Amino acid sequence: MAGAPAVDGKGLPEIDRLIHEPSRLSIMANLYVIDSADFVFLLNRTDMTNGNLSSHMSRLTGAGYVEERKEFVGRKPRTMYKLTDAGRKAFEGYREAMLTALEG
Amino acid sequence: MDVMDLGEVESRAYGTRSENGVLDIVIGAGLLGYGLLAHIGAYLVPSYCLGLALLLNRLVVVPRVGRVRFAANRRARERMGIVLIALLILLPLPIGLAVFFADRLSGLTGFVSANLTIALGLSIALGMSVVAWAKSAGRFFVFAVMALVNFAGAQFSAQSLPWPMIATGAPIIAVGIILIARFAMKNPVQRAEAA
Repeated sequence: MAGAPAVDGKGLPEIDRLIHEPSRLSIMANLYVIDSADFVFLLNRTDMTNGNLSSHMSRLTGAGYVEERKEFVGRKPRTMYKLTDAGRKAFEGYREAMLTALEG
Repeated sequence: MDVMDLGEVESRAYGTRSENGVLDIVIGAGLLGYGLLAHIGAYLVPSYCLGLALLLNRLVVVPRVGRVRFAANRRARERMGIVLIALLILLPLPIGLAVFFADRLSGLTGFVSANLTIALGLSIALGMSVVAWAKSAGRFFVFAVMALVNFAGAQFSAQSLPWPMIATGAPIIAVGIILIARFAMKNPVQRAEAA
């Protein structure tokens, strides 16, 4: 687990807002418990639309939390996603911060 | 208190791959195949089961739920399950060979020969229990009990071996068909990755 979470000016632990958004939290949680998954699997697990999931994945890959690998199966594109070490640490830190905030 | 139950998230994610009925259909078809083809070509059963599993996975499961690779602990559990099932299949082999080739049946070989049907039922029930554990699918424990009851019944009523196989395989395949139909209805193939 990550170390003690940083505290903001109000004495509450700092929450990673990139992860805190419910859709991205769902993506991060799913990728945290599995090794890797493709776009269709995440669509099913998160109940998002294609465009929504694409945009959230772009933000997470942009932040370095998720790595993507594109490949073609026949003529169909397939993108596999996997949490990076930074993403794994960020998610653990987020859980810790939430626990601290809620339990005091 | 846990902020998010990750165990629940994992088991739901895993459930999309294990609750689709494919394994039920393949195991049911295997037993049914051995029962129906016992005298003409039972050696074909493993290859048609493998083909059926690959076909159902490719045509029904992957287009609906996508591809996923589970974490190391889940894969280790599945590997252990495969090893245990292989042992359950391989261990009785020397005993079976001894039964067939021994001039005088005595001791364990004699016992197994006299109780071949129930010994096979026990082996199948243990295999089902391993599947239940490895795939976190409790219904396979019920199938294990059903196999044991069918094979014990056949042993005591002196029925031939194909009958308990058919009586066990048919309900399992029926459960598998119900599960795969529910799975297909719940997960339509309307969503594909944009190029």
